[in-house]
Amino acid sequence: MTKDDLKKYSQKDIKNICLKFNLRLDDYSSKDEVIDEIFEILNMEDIEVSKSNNSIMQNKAINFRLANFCNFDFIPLDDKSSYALFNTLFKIILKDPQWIFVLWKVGLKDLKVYKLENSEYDINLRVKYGKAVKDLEKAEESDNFFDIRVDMNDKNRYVNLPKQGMFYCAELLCKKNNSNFTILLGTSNIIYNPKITIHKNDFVDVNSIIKLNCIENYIEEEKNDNSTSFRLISDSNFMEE
Amino acid sequence: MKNNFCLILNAHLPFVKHPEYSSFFEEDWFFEALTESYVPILNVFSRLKEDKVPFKVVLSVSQTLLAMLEDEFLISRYIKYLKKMVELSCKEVERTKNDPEISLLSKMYLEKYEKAYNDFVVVYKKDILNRVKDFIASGNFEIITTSATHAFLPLYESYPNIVDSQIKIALDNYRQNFGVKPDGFWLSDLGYYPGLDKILKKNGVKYFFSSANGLMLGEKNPKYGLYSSYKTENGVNFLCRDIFSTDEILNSEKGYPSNAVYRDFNRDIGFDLPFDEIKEFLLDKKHRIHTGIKYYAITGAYDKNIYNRKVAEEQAKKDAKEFVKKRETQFKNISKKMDGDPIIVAPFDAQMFGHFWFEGPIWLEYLFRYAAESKSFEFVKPSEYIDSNKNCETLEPIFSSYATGGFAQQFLEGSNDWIYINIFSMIEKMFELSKRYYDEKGLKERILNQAFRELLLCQASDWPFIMRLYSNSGYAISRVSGHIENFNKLCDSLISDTMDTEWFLKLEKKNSVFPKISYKELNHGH
Repeated sequence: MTKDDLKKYSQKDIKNICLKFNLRLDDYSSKDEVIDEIFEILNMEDIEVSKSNNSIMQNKAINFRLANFCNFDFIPLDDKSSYALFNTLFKIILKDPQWIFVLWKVGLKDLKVYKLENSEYDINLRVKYGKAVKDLEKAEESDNFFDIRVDMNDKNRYVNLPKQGMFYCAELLCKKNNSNFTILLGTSNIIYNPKITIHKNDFVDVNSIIKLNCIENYIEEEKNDNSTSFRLISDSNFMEE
Repeated sequence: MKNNFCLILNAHLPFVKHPEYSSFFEEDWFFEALTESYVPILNVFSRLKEDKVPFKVVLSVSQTLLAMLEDEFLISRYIKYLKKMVELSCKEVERTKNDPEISLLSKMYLEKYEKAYNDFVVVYKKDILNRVKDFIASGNFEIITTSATHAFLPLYESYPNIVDSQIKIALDNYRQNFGVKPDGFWLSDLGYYPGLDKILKKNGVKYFFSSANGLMLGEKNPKYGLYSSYKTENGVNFLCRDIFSTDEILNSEKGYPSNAVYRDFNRDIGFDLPFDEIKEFLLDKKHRIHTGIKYYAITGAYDKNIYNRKVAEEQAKKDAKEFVKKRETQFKNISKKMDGDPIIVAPFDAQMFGHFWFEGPIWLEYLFRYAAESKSFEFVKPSEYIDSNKNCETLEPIFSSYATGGFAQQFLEGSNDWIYINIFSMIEKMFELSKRYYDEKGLKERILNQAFRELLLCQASDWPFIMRLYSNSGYAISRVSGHIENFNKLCDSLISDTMDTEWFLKLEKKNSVFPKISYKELNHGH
């Protein structure tokens, strides 16, 4: 398929092709610009997109094609390949109810396919949250997300969490300088940040547990006329590291 | 109504074995634990047995410690260590003969090390596990285990198959040693995350333990607080650590071991004596280290009193008596509000008794003796209590641990967070290789099994924990880096079909945990 062939496709089809290549399109781009970008970013003269409905087959086909495009000596997994990480590794770990640790290593495939090895680019961490796992898919629509720009040489970041009792996941996004595309390099695992609840319990002085375990960081002391009680530190009290 | 007290002794050490050196400082962790804690604790229970004092204890033994207890090379080095300590004690008896107070103590150490040698070699015949098995058979011990290399599992939540391997390998190895699978599981640092119970259940675990904050700070208020067993939605029972009774020992400022009359752990002849007098017993004859011979009491910050053994032993008995009295009061307060029988769960690191707290074994012995006299509570095994409390409340602990801070802070912070991207990369590669070489035999199978061992050893929670302490962090860093390097070299060799067999055989001999491990397990059910 050449550029001219691709121009015959509808805007929607092209958007789907972008998705298959994990490319996110800025809305203002024209169709021609997008097509140019696809060829530019993947640095290829010809692309082929499988129309198979089998997603695994599609991914294999895409991987194989991508490998060929960039002349990367890729040998499929079930045959032989280098032990080096082929795919991008991107994970989040819950440290405590206030922080997650986000860590990543861009895999050989992405480095080669997107020509990142000798390029200047920005890395953006998009952290999404929701009350249920399914809410994470629509987190952007409900504004339950935030972005953190990090240096392209960074490999990890502690991120302050805005709310307890929520599921979290993150996306690793990359944007080359002067490009209209944002490349999705990885989507993390999902974690649940527990909601800390201070109960009045007949058997246990919960305040003592908080003090003995040094959990005060997540709790605020409230002094009333007759007693002292604890409450959670304000949900909105978060910031980027 | 029956008041139940469950005492747990957690015996764990990271796997440390360095045959490539003629002696190795960190191997002393194992030797000191054996001499000062594990053997003296077994002696305590043997005396209680002889005196017909009732006792029941849960003993959590990690698989890395078990591997060291069964390692002939380490055992032969341990015997050398004991001989060296007897030699040092003899020299000290001679050196201190004109000082009546210190001389008493130097003789105490000589007696202690001679007894340790005799106990280990003659009484236990170099295998303390046989005595443990006797106590299991007599119903005094319930043995449980922990994750294969004491990995802190919440950090590996995104790799359920690795969490599963850590649990399964530990249970399989336990079964090979003790003939049965344990009912209970000690989660390293009581690290829990929702969903972990499913993996425990899949592996046949009937109960585990939770931290106090894991239970009490969740969204559901547990009816009986820390003093009952509970069941998760997936049907796994759990009991909760009583933060109040354990604090009486573990509180660094107010706990029993901080009493001024007890022996000072930090004041050691390795630092006190002139260099030339002690150098034969120092690290590489160059660096000052703790030798184990300590002549001073905690006293205050500066002027230290000479340690008085009799006074300290009497204090340990008094503290045991007070502990029993306090539990009587605690049970009285709990029982009046409770419908069923209460349980107090008190877990301690076994090394606390003897190694860190020199008088700890005496305290332990008198805990059982005074409790038997008081008759206000009984020692119980978790499985017994759980059987009697089948209609318990259903709830689940939150993500938590009992380490300082209550979550994963000890294992994930600036000093140690660099290890996780490396370990996760190893995990990804291990899965990739296990799929590609799914049914290898011979040398390739051995290479893959060794790569799997290196990955598991790298996951030990001890390394990030030590890195955080900064003292001795160099060893922890070198261990993690070494496992990463070994792993990568093994993978390289596999891919390129070339192997430095001399290096490989040495590595197999050195990092020899889990002799029956199979990388093929990684593909089963995933």
